[in-house]
Amino acid sequence: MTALDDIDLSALLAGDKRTWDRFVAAAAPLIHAVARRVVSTHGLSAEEAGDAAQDVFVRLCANERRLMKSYDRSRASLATWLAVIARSCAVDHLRRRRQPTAALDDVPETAVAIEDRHVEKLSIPPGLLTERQALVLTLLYDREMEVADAAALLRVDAQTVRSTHHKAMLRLREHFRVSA
Amino acid sequence: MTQDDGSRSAPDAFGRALWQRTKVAETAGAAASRAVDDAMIAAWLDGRLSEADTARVERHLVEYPQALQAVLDTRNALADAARAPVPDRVVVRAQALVGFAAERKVGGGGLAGLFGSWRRALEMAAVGAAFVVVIAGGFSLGGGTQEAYAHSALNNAAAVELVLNPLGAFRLTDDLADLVTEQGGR
Repeated sequence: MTALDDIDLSALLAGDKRTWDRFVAAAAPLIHAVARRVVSTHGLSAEEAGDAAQDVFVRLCANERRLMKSYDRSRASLATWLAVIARSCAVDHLRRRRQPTAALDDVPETAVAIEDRHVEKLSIPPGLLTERQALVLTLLYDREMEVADAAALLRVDAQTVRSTHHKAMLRLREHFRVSA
Repeated sequence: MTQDDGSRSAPDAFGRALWQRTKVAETAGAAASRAVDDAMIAAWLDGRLSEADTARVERHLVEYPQALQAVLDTRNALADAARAPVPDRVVVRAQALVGFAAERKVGGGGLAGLFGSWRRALEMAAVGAAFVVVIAGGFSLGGGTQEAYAHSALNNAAAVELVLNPLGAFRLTDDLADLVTEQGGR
């Protein structure tokens, strides 16, 4: 099977049929995996994942492949970009398909989160924590991630995460001790 | 590292409580809007953003739990993709989205375009030849040109006869002669 990195992007953007077929074969596992994850979060069937994946492909080639043309290979790999785009498209797909008459009790709690507009605001002076420190604390405490998983997400080693956490704690202790 | 340092370098209940003290929830729109689009999220996941843009995305992820959830889902899907089976139907339906019209469009320039136009001309010639064969075959089965002219000549002669001798054209002369003969005999 052709890897995504081997796809001739110029031919794909020009609408070449054979390149499109190769692209679909290479991208389908990723796009379907994203769609399946989004769909399962909302308690829907695997069939819906297929429809959501199809919707992603439709969006990719709509309007003379306008969405595909927005891809910038210098900023992200095609796989990562596709995964992010696929998730947004799949969520949009579910928004459109959601039955407005469904009983609230029948809707999984996670499905309601799709419209979640909750915003976390920190009651600490701006600049007390760096963005990276705040994100590390969010991952470790709010998401209860392991240090190794947080490190993988941030593309750093585990010791760096521990060190970032340690410095953040020192700053918070100092801030609240003074404030109290 | 001291015991105190060790307890603070790993997540613990004290750290969690301290972190929770920093938070106040706000509704949508209360926080300043900071546009972070999908392309930026993808670049952040691949570690290709500038320091300033990285900080911007990470602030966004801290402030918007749903955005962080999307990032975590996306990362997990990237890990799942290699081992997850895909129904053939998904691939076939998606491949059908781009058709041969697009392929011809691509072949519009250069050598490929030249071959493309020749191929189109050959297709048109083949269709034309098939049309001629069908017409000629049907015409031959109907008797060909000679019979067609013969029918035409007979029809023309009948038309002339009808004009010059309407009764004769309908073969009434013999019947009239018989009638006259019969009446005359009475």
